[in-house]
Amino acid sequence: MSVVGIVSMKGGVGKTSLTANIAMALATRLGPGRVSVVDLDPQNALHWHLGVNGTQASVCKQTLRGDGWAGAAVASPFEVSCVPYGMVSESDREAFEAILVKSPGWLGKNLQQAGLGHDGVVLIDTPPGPSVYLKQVFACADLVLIVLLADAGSYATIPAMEAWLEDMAVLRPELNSFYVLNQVDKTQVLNRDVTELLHQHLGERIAPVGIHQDEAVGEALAFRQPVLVYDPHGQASHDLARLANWLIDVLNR
Amino acid sequence: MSPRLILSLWRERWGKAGDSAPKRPYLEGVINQWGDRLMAAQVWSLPGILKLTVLLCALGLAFVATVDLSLKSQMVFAGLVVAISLYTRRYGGAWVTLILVGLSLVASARYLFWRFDATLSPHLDMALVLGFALCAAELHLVLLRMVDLLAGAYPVKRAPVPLPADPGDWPTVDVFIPCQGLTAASIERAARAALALDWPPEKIKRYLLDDRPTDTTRLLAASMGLTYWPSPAGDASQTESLNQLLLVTQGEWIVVFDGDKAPDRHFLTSTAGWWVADRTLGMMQTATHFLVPEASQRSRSILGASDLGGSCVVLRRSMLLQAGGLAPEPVTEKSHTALKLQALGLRNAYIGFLPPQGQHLEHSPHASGPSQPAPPVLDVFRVDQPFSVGSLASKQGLASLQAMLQFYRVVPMLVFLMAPLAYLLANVNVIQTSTDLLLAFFVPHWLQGYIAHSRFEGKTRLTWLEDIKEAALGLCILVSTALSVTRTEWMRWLDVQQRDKLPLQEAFDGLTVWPFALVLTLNLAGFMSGLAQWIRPPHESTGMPTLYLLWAGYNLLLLAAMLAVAKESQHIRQQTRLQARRSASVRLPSGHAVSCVTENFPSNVLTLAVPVPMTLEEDTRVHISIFRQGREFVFPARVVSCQGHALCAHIEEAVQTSYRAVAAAVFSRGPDWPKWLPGRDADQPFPPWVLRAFDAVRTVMLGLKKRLAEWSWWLLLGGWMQAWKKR
Repeated sequence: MSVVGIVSMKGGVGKTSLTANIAMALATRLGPGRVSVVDLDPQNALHWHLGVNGTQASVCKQTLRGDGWAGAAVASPFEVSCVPYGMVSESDREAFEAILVKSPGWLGKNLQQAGLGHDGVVLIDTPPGPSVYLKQVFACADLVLIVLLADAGSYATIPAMEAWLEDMAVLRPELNSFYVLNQVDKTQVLNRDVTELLHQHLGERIAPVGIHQDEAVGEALAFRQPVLVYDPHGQASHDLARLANWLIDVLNR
Repeated sequence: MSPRLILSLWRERWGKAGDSAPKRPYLEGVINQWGDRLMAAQVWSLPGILKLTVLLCALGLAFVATVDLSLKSQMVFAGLVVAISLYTRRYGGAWVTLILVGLSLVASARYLFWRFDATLSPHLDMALVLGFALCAAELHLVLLRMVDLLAGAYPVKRAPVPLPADPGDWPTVDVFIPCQGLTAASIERAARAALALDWPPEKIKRYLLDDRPTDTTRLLAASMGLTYWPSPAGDASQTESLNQLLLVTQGEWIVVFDGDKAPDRHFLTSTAGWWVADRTLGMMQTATHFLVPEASQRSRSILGASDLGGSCVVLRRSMLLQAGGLAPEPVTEKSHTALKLQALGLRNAYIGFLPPQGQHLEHSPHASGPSQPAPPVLDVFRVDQPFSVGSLASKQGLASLQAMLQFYRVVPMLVFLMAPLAYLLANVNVIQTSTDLLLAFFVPHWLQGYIAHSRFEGKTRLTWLEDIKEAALGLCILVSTALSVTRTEWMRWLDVQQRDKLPLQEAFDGLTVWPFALVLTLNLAGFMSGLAQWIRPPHESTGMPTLYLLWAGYNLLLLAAMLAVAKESQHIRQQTRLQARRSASVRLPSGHAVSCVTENFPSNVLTLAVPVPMTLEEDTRVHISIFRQGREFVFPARVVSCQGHALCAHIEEAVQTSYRAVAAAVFSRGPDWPKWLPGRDADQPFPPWVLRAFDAVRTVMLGLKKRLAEWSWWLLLGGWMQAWKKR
């Protein structure tokens, strides 16, 4: 089983839609029943991207009840199974986070017990910035994808991200991390320049495929579909498919 | 373009590798040591020894060619010659090449002498005239082959000379592109290539010469930043306007491209080193086509390089002016200019192929890694100063003979294609001899020629069974070819106006179709009538009719293959020239980005194949991204038309310069044809499966022999025992 964490220091970089779309691209490549997503973001938006009704199942409530993940996973119409965060009250969230602080291996243990099979791929969505969720992901992930926009705001968060990664490297020195550029638009001068700068600055650590800015991504969300289903010929869909190929390569290494 | 070359292109098109057999490097053996010892012998320093040797060799050849042998002796002689060359051909080195050429010369000389001496009709009749024509044609082809072989026997290999380190010391260059009777597309391609040349921008000027001034070319020159030079007199020839341009330009060197050829960007930096190093070099020419090597290696070291028809020349201005400008002769102006320069005592050179990686002027941050591969070993063929050598007359004679024979090569070919018809249709026997005698003389002549020739052409030459395979393929195509030729001509007769729209007509315009169609039809008729005669029961003799019939059949295959392959090569040319399919993306005003493929990349009006049918208003502003090696280049454009899956957009004028730069970067890769060049491997007459089968059979036979030996031992023992018992 491969665990991929999708993280970022800054909010609003399209992390959740990227998680859903990469999962869809991987499922297209790997076939049904092998790809799942776990939403560890209290925004609880991931299920929306995959057209799943997120009111019933909740990883948060299951944990508070002391149950495993058996009832938390929901099958989506797109061959990706989804574990939503769930609609929870503030006190429940705090209680859940307290459990996570107490047992750092919680996520890894639950993933092992979820019975996803040795050839499964799990993508985990996290809230922006350092958090207890991020720590859980770092403790068990095989690969971490850091989502960036090609703008000054994202660029400014890179030092904080690098410092966090350095701290984590003490615990998991073998953990691989790659930056992924989202919403690339080379017609914008600033976007183009920041992309160049990031490539020079990060070199090999930046994924070879960036996801282009494409209105289809936003529209797909409005239709509660992954963009690969909504507009398979769009540039964003092409980029996602290539990114999935690259991801499979990296995971197989 | 030779049929061989067309064939190799054709194979490339269909992904049929020519070198499927495992490579066998040339052997090194005693024979090479002999050759080295002979070459290094002290004898060669004696005065006049070379002339004496040549004289002795000529006398020996005359004797061997004319000596009268019986049929049996001739067969033994032929077997001996073939056996020697089959043995020696596996060894490398110029000495072995000379042996093969010598043996080929002996076999061909014997054959030709015998043909002129013994096979012509004794009376003055049609058979004598036609037979003589055939003999003359064969003499022509043999002479051509021999001159070719002699010319290629000693390729001189030298590395190119690097340029001075400081580009400030490099000379100034004027690039002339004559665009006589060419389409705008091919001119644009040549102009782009000229713009992409690696050279300091302040030291290079580019001129577009137009002898029939048109607005399209003028606009093209203006949009690409070239100086437009219309012919002042209007109807002046290409060289006249070139000479006039010479008087007003100042560059130290002059480069002349054929308008329909596009060199790669390293062209100047690769050739230039010679010029800086050698102050007496007056002219440098290149291979006839930048993307295609010549079919045979012809070194210019022996022939003085005066017969070349290169597609690009580099000249030194001062020397050219001294020689009185370019020679005015049409078609052969380069050869004549070369002769004029030679007459001034200047050198000229021929460059076989250029290094794939020349000196780069600009280093992008991505390209300047420390791990740039070293340029591979280069072969540059270069000539010596012809006037410094005493034997100039003979060399120049040889060179002009080669040029002449090459030029008229089609005549003997036509004679060869028509000869069997004389017998099959008109019952005139052009070779008056018996079959066995003919075979005894012809087979070694043909085989030797083949072996010697294939040694020179290496990879570009296909071995026997490959030839047969291609010929068999020709048979399959024969019917369809004959049909399409007839249909083309029929359609043309029906509607002359429509002929330009016929794809078949277009396909055949590489060859002059009329004579070939005529010869094809005649051969078909001859073959049919020959077949009818052959099947009919009462024949007087079977040998010669069968031979003629086979000959006509071979001609048919050859012609059909030629036509079919010419058609293919035309397609290939269209593809490589016009269709540059690159992955791209188009960003629509709505914010959607659609992944697509370009259909005609370097064109200013880009056609994109979009995966979903779209409708866009004319003049809509879009952004087109071109991807290259992971990088993206975006150009704003305006929609010209958008129907279904085809989106046509005009790149905005403001970004034309950067668009051209990207186009130049995409197209200015180094030459990718050196992989076609003849390698250092021995020619393989049999395909690998035949050799494997042979090995298997040999193993079985050896095993059987061993078994038999054992059995015979037991049988012997048994027999001996019985004999002993009886006693």
